[in-house]
Amino acid sequence: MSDDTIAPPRSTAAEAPPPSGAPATAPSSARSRRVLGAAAMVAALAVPLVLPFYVDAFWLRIGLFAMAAAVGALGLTILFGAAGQLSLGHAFFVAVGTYGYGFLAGDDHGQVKGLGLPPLLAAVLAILFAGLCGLLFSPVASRLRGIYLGIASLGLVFLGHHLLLNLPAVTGGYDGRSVEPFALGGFTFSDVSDRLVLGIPFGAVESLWYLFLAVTVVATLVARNVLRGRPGRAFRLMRDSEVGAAAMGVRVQRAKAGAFVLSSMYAGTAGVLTALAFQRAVPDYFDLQLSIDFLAMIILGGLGSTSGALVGATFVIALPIVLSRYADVLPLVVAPGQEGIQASFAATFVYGVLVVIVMLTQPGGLRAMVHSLRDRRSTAH
Amino acid sequence: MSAPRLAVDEVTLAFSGLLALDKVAFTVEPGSIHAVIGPNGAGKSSLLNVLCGIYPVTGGRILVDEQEVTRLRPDRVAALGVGRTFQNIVVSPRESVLDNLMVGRHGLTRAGLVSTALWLGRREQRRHEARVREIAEFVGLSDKLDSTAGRLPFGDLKRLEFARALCLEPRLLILDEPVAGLNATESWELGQLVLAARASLDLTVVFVEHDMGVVMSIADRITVLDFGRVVAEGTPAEVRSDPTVVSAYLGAPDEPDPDESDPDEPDPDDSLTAETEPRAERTSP
Amino acid sequence: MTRLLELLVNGVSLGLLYALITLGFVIVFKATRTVNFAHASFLLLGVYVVASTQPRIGFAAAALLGLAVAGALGLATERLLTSRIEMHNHHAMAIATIGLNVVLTAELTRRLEERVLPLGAPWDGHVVDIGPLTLPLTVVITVVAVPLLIGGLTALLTLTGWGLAMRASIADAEGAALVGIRLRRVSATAWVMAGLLATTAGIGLASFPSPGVSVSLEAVAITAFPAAIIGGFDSLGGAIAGGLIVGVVQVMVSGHQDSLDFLGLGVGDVVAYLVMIIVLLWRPSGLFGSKEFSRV
Repeated sequence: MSDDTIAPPRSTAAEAPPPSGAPATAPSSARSRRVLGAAAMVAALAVPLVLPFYVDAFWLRIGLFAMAAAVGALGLTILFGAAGQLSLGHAFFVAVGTYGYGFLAGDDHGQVKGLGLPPLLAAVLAILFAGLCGLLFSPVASRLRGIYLGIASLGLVFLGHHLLLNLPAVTGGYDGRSVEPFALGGFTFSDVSDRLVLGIPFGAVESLWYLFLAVTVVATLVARNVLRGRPGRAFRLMRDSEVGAAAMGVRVQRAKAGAFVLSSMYAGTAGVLTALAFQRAVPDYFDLQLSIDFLAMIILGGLGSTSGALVGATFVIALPIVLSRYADVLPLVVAPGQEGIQASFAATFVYGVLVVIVMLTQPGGLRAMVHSLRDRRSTAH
Repeated sequence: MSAPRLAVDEVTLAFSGLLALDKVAFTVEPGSIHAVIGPNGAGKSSLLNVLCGIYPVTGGRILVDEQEVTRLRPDRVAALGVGRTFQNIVVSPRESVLDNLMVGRHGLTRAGLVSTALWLGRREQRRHEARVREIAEFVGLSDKLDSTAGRLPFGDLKRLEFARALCLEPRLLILDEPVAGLNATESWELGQLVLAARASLDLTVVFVEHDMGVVMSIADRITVLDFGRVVAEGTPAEVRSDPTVVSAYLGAPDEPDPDESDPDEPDPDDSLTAETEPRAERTSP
Repeated sequence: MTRLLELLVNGVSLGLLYALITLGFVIVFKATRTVNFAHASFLLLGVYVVASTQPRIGFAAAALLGLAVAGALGLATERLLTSRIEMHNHHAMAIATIGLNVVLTAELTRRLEERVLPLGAPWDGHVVDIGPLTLPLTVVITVVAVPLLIGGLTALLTLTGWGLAMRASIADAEGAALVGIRLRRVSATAWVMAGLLATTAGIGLASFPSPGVSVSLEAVAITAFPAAIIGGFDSLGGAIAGGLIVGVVQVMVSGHQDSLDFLGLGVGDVVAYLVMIIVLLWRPSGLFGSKEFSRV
């Protein structure tokens, strides 16, 4: 009210047109962007839903690993991207999820024990257990800052690997343990003979595809809620200034611990998915390289962004597999066993170099790159 | 919810043997605007950091009304209704202005990780967002709420910090060099904003500032620090004529801050509005 | 008793080598505030050059070449990072070094595969008897030479202009710039030094009784990270202490594996991290670190 009466003197000033012009254009461009966004969203959801009917198991399997990785990357992007707390111990919590599920859902096989719980219960407990492990580490995680936590959390990977080798009753030791397939109300997510859906064989890969899709969607929405809501804002100010966050009433240590526990649970979920996708758990998978892979995913995708985590995970997971599949047509790259640069190495080079390039040119990641382009465009007109 | 009295009682702060504050004592009356001035290194910023719990005191007490805040963590102090700004702008540069302001509501909202994750607390969120928009309107940032904070001109960043402190619904407002780096017009406008906020929100204000024009025009009382000690206190008129002060401080050329190099886009018309508008707008729901 | 003493000397020797690695890491951190995650691959590259060239040009020349390459890598890294990243953006720098580490490690792994390259050092294969102790010559040389090296380094840091400049630039970058200290030169020197120290330590680590240069050396070099944290991250004395603690504890624990069975096989390899976590719980800023690195 009173604002309106005061407005006129302002609009007589030199820059009158922009204020009156801006409200008119801003909503419409925002609306069109929203429509586009919604359309992209629908496509992003619809395509995966029908994909199993159009592509073969090779691609679906990549999808499974990508989705498992994406869930882990979401956790790390909350922790590092938003809260600024680097963790190189992510692989440890993934391992907790994988072996936790294997142990809780599995049965006794000789020396390797299992509790034989229903798979859903086992999965939930495994995720909670990963969170508990994160909580146990939080006295360290909540008192260290940023990169220093990264170095301290490095220890978790090595200690975790040591435990995996030395608790054979739970982990199966060096050879690992097999993993019980998922089942829900009588429906098993495994290769059941003669199961056809709409004319295509509906085995482990196809059924797991939908399970993973559901988990990934929920995990993404939850991450988005957290990042857009009160905790996410507190995390980001804490990342940019701990003192500033504290002065706004944020309990910094608690926020750090919260971010760490949440990211551990995401890693645990990724671990359960990894277990189901591999149908086996082996200790050497959970090494420092896996932690770095997760880091590369969120950096390439753009720190702190959920869509970035999904895209980054897909890229990092698919790259080596795709390179090796097309090794014979690609220059330089060769299939395993041949002379030349093997696909897995080529992939590692590519993403290592990309991480350096992204950091050198746009530390905010690809997302920030897009944003700055958009900002430049919107200030231009 | 009325403005509190702030009592600083013989506060001492030592960093590895070095005295940053030496038995500093003064009282800020409810609803008054109190300036702390002094040469660089006099301990002004240290004092503010002590007030809001960032540095633990070595000795002495700090009372906000009857409540002792001396050894509280900064987040607890904030929860008691103490909002502050920083000398070297502390915002999330990559977030929107709205998001930066919403952080100020942190202590007033409850949604934790679990409830946020489960879509709860959205109504609470919207209610607070409405209030944040009011405050943005008040400081003249309404049309920049969706901009990325890091792209704001310097003057707007200062307003953003000020607005965020108001978002805490503070009773005691602490400002660390609120106009440092601003040009004369912007400084004057921000000074008027402080006065308007005090009037409409029932605040006690403590601020550190080098810009004597602003200090003299808005402060009710002034405490002068030098080498961590209070060397004078009084009304602007008293302080101006105090010989100790003149030699310790005012004698020196009181240039603003060295880092005012940034070319602020001058948009003087923008905030002329704020000065007269606060009361009516604030009371409307 | 003799065995315990032998273990102790071996532990100190290993600890001194760790101290060298950690020192390089901490010097870079002190001078530039950058956490160099590629430090372990600096070491591996340095000794790889030594081991792969020594059959042709002899050990001494190969060692010099290895040092030169690692030093150049340090310099190149510094130039690369500061070319585009503002000097205060320590997060971006640290992450970039992770990317660099990925590339270097992949390339060295590709070249080394499963092989173990002999280092060909003149002291390889020799043992000496000192009183009742039988020690590898490498250990004796390490215990004598590394303290001298560290002493020289300390003198360099405390007495020379470079050391002063480094400490000044840490304390106050702007102030240092005002009095004409060239930050770029300080930071470049620190990075070169990191490469040199890592390679020197790597030569020790790859010498007898270790079989030679293999990919697993990088995992050994990573032990500098917990050592740095134990010592306190920004303290040169802490780096030495952290390295020594980790080395001695590691050798002692591995030497008493039989009686430490409940901790699992190969606990010696991870005990550094256990010690690190215990130290962190007790002192978040490490034994000698300054407080500001862990707390608000």
